[in-house]
Amino acid sequence: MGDLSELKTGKIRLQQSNDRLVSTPTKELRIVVEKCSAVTPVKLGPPPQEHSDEEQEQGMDVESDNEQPQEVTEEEIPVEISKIKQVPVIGRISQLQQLNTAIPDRSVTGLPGALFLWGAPATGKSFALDSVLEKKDVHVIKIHSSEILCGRRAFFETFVKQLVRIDHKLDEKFRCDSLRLLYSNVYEYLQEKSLRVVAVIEGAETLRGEHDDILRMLISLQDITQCQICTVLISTLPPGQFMPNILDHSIIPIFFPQYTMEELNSIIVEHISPRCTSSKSSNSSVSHWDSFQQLIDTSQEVNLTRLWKKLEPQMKAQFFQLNSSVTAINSSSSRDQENTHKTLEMPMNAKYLLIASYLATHNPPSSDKRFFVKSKINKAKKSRLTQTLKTDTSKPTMRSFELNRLHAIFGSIQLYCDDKAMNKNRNISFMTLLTSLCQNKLVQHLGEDSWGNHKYKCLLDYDTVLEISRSVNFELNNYLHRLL
Amino acid sequence: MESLESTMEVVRQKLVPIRRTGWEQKCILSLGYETEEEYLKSVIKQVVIGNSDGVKVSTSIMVYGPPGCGKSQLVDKAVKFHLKDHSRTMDVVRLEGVYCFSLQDSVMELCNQIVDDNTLLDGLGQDDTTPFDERLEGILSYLRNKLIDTKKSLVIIIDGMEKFTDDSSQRLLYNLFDISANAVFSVPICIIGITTCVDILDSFEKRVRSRFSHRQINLTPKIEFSAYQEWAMQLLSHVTDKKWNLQTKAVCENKDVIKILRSLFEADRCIGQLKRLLYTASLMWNDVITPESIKNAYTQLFAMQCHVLMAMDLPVSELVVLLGIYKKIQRSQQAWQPAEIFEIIKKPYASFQLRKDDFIKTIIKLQDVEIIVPVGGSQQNRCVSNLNESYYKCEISFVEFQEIWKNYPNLPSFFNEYL
Repeated sequence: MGDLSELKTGKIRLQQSNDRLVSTPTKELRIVVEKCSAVTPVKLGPPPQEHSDEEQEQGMDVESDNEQPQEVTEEEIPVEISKIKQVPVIGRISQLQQLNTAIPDRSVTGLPGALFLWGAPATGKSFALDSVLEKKDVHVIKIHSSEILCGRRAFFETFVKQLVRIDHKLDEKFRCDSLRLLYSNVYEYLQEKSLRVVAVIEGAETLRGEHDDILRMLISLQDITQCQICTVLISTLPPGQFMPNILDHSIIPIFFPQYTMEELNSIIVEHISPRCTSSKSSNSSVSHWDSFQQLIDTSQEVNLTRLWKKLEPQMKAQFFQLNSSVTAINSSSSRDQENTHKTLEMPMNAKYLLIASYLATHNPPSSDKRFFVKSKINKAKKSRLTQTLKTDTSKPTMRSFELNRLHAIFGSIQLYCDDKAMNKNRNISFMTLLTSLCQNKLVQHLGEDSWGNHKYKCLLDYDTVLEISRSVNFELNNYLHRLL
Repeated sequence: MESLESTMEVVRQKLVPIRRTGWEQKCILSLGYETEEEYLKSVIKQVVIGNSDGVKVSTSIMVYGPPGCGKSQLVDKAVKFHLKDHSRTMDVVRLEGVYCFSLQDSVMELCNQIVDDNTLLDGLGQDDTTPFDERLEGILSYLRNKLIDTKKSLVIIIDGMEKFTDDSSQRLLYNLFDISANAVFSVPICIIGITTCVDILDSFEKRVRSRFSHRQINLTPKIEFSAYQEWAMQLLSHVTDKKWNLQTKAVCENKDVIKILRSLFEADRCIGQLKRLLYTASLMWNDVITPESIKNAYTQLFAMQCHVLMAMDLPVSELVVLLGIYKKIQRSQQAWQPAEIFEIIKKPYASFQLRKDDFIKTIIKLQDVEIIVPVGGSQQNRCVSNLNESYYKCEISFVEFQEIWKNYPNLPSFFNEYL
């Protein structure tokens, strides 16, 4: 008889951990509890200076925010985020060794042409690579493949700008819109500077198909420039899913398997951070960490089976929330408080996606570059038109949008908000999240056009999205075209 | 300890899989292309120095062979041989098929490498509002004059020649041939094409094909296994460290290693693939070279069952869907619809307290990792509403399924009933 508790994320894992804990009675559990208590007082919040800026910008709106009761939201989850990068990488010994050897120290020359890190989402690929790179004397270029959705030119220019960011020597006429110009820019700069560069391409599977030529070029960069540049592709798909002859003779694949039970235990004990990047949980899944901890504190149970029985209902509920991604609400257009609260129960990434879908619905596609191209996102014009808000919101223009556009806007918002919150949990299944939103009637699928592109529309109203965007510290008004 | 580390580092540097090691570095071992190398040198000599009568003759040659067999290495070596003594009378231009697959890119890259004056090039190229095709004649005549002025022989290496088979690129090639064969002001040009495509000449127009048809070098490795073993030994050995070399010899004579080398030899005899294997193994060395590292490297590179590994990382709730697919495949090999699978796994799925909504999401997740793919549809066709109308097929083979059921940790008991 299968049961929820037999799921891999449920009893099967926990039973095993129970077995371990029985053999060493409650020692590890105590460590967990102690560490939890140690971390609890640390509260994350916006720096005072930033808060005052926001007050100035948003005027009355912020005041009303301050009057609201301090709810325990996801932003306040106690966590020592600044230490996330310093914690050791657990369970990736072989992978770390290979990466450490492949990217040698300054004293030794010779980087491999290309590495290919692959494995399921949240298996520590980026985390392990980051931990290796930060100890090495190499110049790192980091670019996510979804940036190609902003166009090839934006992708190439981001690449070159990241390469030359130390010097800022690019002039106003700088233009890089073809592979040849990408090559010549990289070649000239590396010849001049003799830098050792590691170019990290995350989500490399996005470049397959239409952009195979870019993939081929990035892999061959060392070959054709004969400079010390190594391309590291990170993907959730195996090398075999890429075009033949692309990942054939020069690339070294490194596989990241899912964590074992013991490794997960170690991660929980060592990292303890609810937002630990290595855990498979989404942000929402850790929002009840405190309640788990309280249960453990109050129960004083030595018998772990009984303790498990007490924890099980919450974990069960937690699992369902994790699996369904979005809490259902009955009426998306309703503005009542209850529904707003339910919407706020969503995982962080679902909120980003909702905001992205709202912006895609209400902004013209031509304004996307202005708002969301990477170099400009931090310079988005501050809202100066808060006073005209009421008049303008009364006549919104609804547009359908395509999946690619949504993906690009979502990627930008995610990057912006996560950087702001120093959060690194970007492992999501985009389509699954979108499906959840569609099922809950927050986003509507409108069918497909004559070219086979599927069209969507956001069904939420301005007030609800504004509430959601505030909960993730995103200044929605600065990104709405009609308010500029 | 330090000397051991430095030895390992030196050996690892030899194994770094780069297509060509650059102009300065020497070839590290003999690939058995001595005859071809001499021939290529003599061809280049006709352009740079001249034939028996001392007349510089334009020529062209095609070098082809499987990936990683040492084509670029051979060409670089031959060109470098002449460049060493005749750097004042010859120019070398390299066009890469990776980024030069349009006529404009090729011409601009050619100009960029021949002409150092960037401002002049800008005037000819990017900032001009006239369409490129109309400016091509002007650019080519400028290039011709420039070449005549310099009075240098030109060696053009085109790596990835298969990218130059479209009409516009052939136009560039023909123009270059025209410059080289002009009766009034000919410039000695040697065009060396490098490709993995054996039948590339069939893709060219007659006027281009005829230039290459009489000069070709085929670099398909024709070596025995003993020579292949010797390559492995040479690649792993160190110039001075005798202790290391003894270890290397022991590893290369290990039965398992011989077996691995034999299977790689049967699949691909090129040096590139061997270097890749040994480099991957070198990343796993701790203090000493071991046969296990070569075995693990072989598994990592060639013997990894990716779909099995991916399925092993899935949670049980998604594995139940795979179970349904497996049952469906058992009955018939046809494509299936998600609704059919749901009917099969309804009972076990419900026992997990999961609903059809969750099932749809699982289908999307499996589609995201490409374990299942829609039949007759593109990636764009992933959609929430049409899931029940779409047909899918599974990328996991029957044998791979057996492997998954066998190795998945803590497989729930009801799986056995279904299996």
